[in-house]
Amino acid sequence: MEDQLGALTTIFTEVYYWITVVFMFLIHVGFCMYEVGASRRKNMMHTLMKNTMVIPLVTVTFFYFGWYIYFGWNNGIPGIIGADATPYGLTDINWAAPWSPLMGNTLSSEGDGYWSHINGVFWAAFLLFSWTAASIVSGAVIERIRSGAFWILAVVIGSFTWIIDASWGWHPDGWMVRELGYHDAYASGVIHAIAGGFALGVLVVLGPRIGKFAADGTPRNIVPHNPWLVTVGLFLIYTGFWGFYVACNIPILDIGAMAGMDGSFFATTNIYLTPTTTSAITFNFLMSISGGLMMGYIVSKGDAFWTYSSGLGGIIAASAGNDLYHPIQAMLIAAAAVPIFYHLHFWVERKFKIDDAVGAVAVHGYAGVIGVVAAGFMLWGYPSSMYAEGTWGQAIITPWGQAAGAFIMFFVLGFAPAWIVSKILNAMGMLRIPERVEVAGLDLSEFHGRYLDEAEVDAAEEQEARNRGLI
Amino acid sequence: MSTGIETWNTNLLEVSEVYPFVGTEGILAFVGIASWIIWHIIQIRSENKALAEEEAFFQDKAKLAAARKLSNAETVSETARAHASGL
Repeated sequence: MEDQLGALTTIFTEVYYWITVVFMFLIHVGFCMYEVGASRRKNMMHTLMKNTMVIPLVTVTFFYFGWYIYFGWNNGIPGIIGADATPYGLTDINWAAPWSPLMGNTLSSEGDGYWSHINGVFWAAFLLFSWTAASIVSGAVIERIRSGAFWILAVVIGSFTWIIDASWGWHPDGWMVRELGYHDAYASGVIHAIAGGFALGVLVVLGPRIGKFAADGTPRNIVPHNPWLVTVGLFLIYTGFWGFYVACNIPILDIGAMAGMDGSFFATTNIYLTPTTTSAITFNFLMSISGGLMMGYIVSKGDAFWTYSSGLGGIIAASAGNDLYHPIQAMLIAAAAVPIFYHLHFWVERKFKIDDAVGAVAVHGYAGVIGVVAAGFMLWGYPSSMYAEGTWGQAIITPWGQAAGAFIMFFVLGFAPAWIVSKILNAMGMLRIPERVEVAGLDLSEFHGRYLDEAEVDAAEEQEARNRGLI
Repeated sequence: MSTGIETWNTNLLEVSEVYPFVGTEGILAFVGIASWIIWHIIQIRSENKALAEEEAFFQDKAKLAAARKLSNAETVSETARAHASGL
């Protein structure tokens, strides 16, 4: 880079995304703590390792093909939907294929070297969203899914289906943005609805934990072994969510020419390149979390788990339009969503015998759908992106476009692929832990030797103490 | 012999790839993808084997009952007692 201002802009953007990635790492830490706390003692280590190994598996697969899909599939499924009408052809991506020099340490690239600096951190920001999508599913299925099956499912959502939806609906050239007017600035549907739908698809095939339902179908509450760990985990997820929000923005961009201005207009933009400010999303993040927490406390009668989860669900329900909402609008939307997803969780649990161990389908899936649809009404008539020219002219946000988008996120790319893959794994006998092992406890199965060592060392220590006359 | 960069005293605007063995990116991608698939195969085989052994072990109802006490034990001494009682 030759000029100082250009270098400052580029390297500021690079460091900006790097910081968001570090913050978002806390989401995964929080999910691990939350899930381990929610599991029973006999399943703690299995639960921890199941979610921990999402990190390497989704990382390497997102490097191999996830990043390529984001830029390559904007028109739909290659060869099936749409023609090559975007600036990015399906084969003309020189920075996202795993063999591209820009997927490694490269000093300069075409133009001013911008992508040499941005590609890795931008990839990582998306990757952390990928972990989040897989991790949301992880909590719902604890204590009875085989790790190997879960890790295949984690790759399916983390490096394949979610990034397809991002390519379609979370990119200014995505066909959903251009044709449906889809707008989902902070990923109500793009991350949360798809992950909730995916979790539901797995749960339908996987079935409930042994003992979850009484003979007459009444659900029992399987109590978390460590409620404190659960709530600290949720606090950490809140913390990481800050990073998630700012990672959804582009920190500094000249959008003057795109707006048709003669001169420059430097702004922070959302992923659709429309202007917003970090202040605006800070207002809205805090007001929507507050709306969710306040309503969650009332609806759940002060239950800690559901109050915290409602704070999370509240943000998710406001996220689709949080680049544009007034803060009080964000708070009200968050609050209004809580009783809907809260009661829906228990209704689905009773009606369909769905054992969602952490309420992920409700807090992420239903809240995400609500968020996408709510934005359709609240932002009716707004352009969906900076230059959203579709078949019928400029694409605008509408309730029906958003409803169609929510359906694609929750069912088409969430529920359906999860159900299909789970059915295949189940038919191969690879999905569920054998029932005797489930009853005995998964940690006992995997860490049998450690338990025996614990008992043996305890007995040896006692004997040694007696020999020395200490006891 | 050099695997990549030979000097930094040059026009840096003309320096592109910095990593060694430029030109092997396609092979590296193939090796990476293959190792990922092989990892899954090894892991699933190992897990299936371990679970089949455990399932066979717990066909004995007494062992399964003892295991439940052991796996839900909150302290080392509870673990020791459960271990002494049959597992």
